Order: sequence, then structure tokens, then C-alpha cells
Amino acid sequence: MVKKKLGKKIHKWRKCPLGQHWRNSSTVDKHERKNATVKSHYRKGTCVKNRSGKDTLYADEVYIITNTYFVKRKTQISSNSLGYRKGSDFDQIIDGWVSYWNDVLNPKVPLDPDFVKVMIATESSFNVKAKAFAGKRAGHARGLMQVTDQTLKFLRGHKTEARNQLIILDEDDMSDPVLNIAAGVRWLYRKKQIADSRYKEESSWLRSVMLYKGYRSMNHKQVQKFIKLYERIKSEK
Amino acid sequence: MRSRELIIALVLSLFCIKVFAGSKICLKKEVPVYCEEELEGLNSLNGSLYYKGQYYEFSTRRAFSKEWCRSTQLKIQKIMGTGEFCMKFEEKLSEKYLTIESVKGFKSSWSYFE
Repeated sequence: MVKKKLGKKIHKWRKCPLGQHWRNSSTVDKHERKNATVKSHYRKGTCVKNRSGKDTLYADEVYIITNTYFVKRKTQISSNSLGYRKGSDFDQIIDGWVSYWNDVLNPKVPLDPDFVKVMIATESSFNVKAKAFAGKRAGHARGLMQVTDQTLKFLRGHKTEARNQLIILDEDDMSDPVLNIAAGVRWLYRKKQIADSRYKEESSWLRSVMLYKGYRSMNHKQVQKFIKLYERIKSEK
Repeated sequence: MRSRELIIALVLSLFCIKVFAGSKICLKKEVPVYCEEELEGLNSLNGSLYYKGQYYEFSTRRAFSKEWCRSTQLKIQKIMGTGEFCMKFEEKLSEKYLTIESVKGFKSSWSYFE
């Protein structure tokens, strides 16, 4: 049997080539298909073709990447908890996903994992269950990075906001720190792309944070709080 | 006996610190809360207050839609208008800029996080 030539993987941590995504092994229950009964059976984990043809991450693969590569990885992130009880609980996850998206999206100035740590401090105070009502259109903001329901839609490919790197996750997934951080960091990158095109130059990550939070002025209290915490984490490193 | 009471007081105070590390301000008179236009039609909810001779400014963690801001502003103003109310903030009062977490009145309350 001639093996089909597969495309290149988008990152060394990915299980499948570009255009396919990983589906975990599972037990398929008995069901009807095209007037025939399919018996209950075991389905092996495998790569499955993406409907969109774009690079797509599903929860199964997000977990595999995190559990396989992040646990023993040497990190760059500061161990400073910033005074929060759970301030250092997610360091490996933050550092891993920032590193992944830095490799895949390759910005001129890479994103600093400490930046994301401060984002989480100011968004949810490291509370994985934080849920805030963000209005009729945006829905709820959920979890560590306060990813909104509308953002999840965009990340799934709605209005081509997420361009070529999609993440298929739903609202309930956002209370999981691994899935929340993977999605939130990806969304911060999208904000960076918007900032770059808006200012017609390589924009700073601080501008991306301002877009993420919706604040216009650098002088806004919440932006100043972010800057202060970031300076603190850097000076105490 | 006295040392036992001291231990209980210490445990209780530690518990209180763990439960609430921010600050709480209780007032009887309304304080200004307003919406300010930010990026792409989003609005930030801001306010200010005087407390024990100190001036503070506060805001929510993020700017959301205009409708969200307006309805939140109205909810908070309604709570403030019914008498004594308490506001909770994420930061301690050593900070000048505070992040509003909740407003609790006698009859109703509002909280940023559900």
C-alpha cells in the first residue's frame, strides 16, 4: 500500500501535519449510519482532516502538547506570584503556550511570558472560575484570561478573525486553565496583528494589551496598573 | 485561657486576610460613577471617591460595550441611592487607583464577577 505523502507539521510539538488535527482514541457507541447499524467499537487516536483546511487546534491536542512538552521544560517566566495566592500555579502553562505561539506566529519582538502572567493578574486575579458578564454581544468573559464568548467564535474561524490558526473550543472549556491560556494567548496575538496594521508599524505588546482590554489611553488606571505590575515582576526577577 | 483566646483571634484574622486581601469602603452618600468612551465603541466604567481624607479613583478591569457600561452604571447608582452601601476593591487602600469588584447595598448588590 502506498502511503499518502503528508504535509509538514506547523510546529515540532504538533501531532499532525498542516490541514489535519488530532482526535483522541475513544469508544464509539452503537449508532445508525446510512440505514445500517454500526456496532459499538473502539476507535484509535488518529489525525483527521480539517474541514477548513486551516491549521486548527482542538482540546485533545492542546492537552497532549501541554502534558508532553511543558512539564519538564525549562521556563523563562518569573516565579514571582505578585502577591496572589495562585500567582505561580500556571507558570509552566503560560511559558509553554507563549513559546508555542512565538514559534508559530514568529513576531519581530517575541511575547514575554511575564506579560501574560500580568495579564492574568489584572484580568482574573488568577481565579480559574472568574466569570463576568461582558454585554449582549460579547457574552461572558471567562476564566484566567477572561476570554469572551465572542472571542471564542472568532477563534473558531468566524469572520476570519483568527486567519490561519484556529482554535476550536467552547464556553465550558474556558474554566480549564490549559485551554484558557492557549486561547487567550492566541487572541493576544490577534490583537497584536490588529495593532500592527492600525499603526502601520511593528506595534508594542502593550498596545496589544490595551486592545485586549479595550482601553484607549496609556494613562487609564487599568493600563497603569498593568505597567506597574509588569515593572514589578521585571525588577524583582 | 488568655493564650487560647489569642490563638483563636490569630486564626480568625489569618482567615479574614486569606478570604479578602483587598479593601472595603462603606459609605452613605453616592459617589460619581461614569462611562467613558474608549476603543471601537467600547466604554470603561470609572468613578472616584473621598474616603478618610484620601482621594481615590476606580475602574473595572476591562472596557466592554456601551450598553454594558450604561446598565452597570445604573445598577450601581441605584444601589448607592438606597442608603448605606459598601464597595469592595481588589487593591488595598495604600493604592490610589482601585479596581472595583462589587457594590453591596441593603437590598441589592452588583458584582463584576458573577
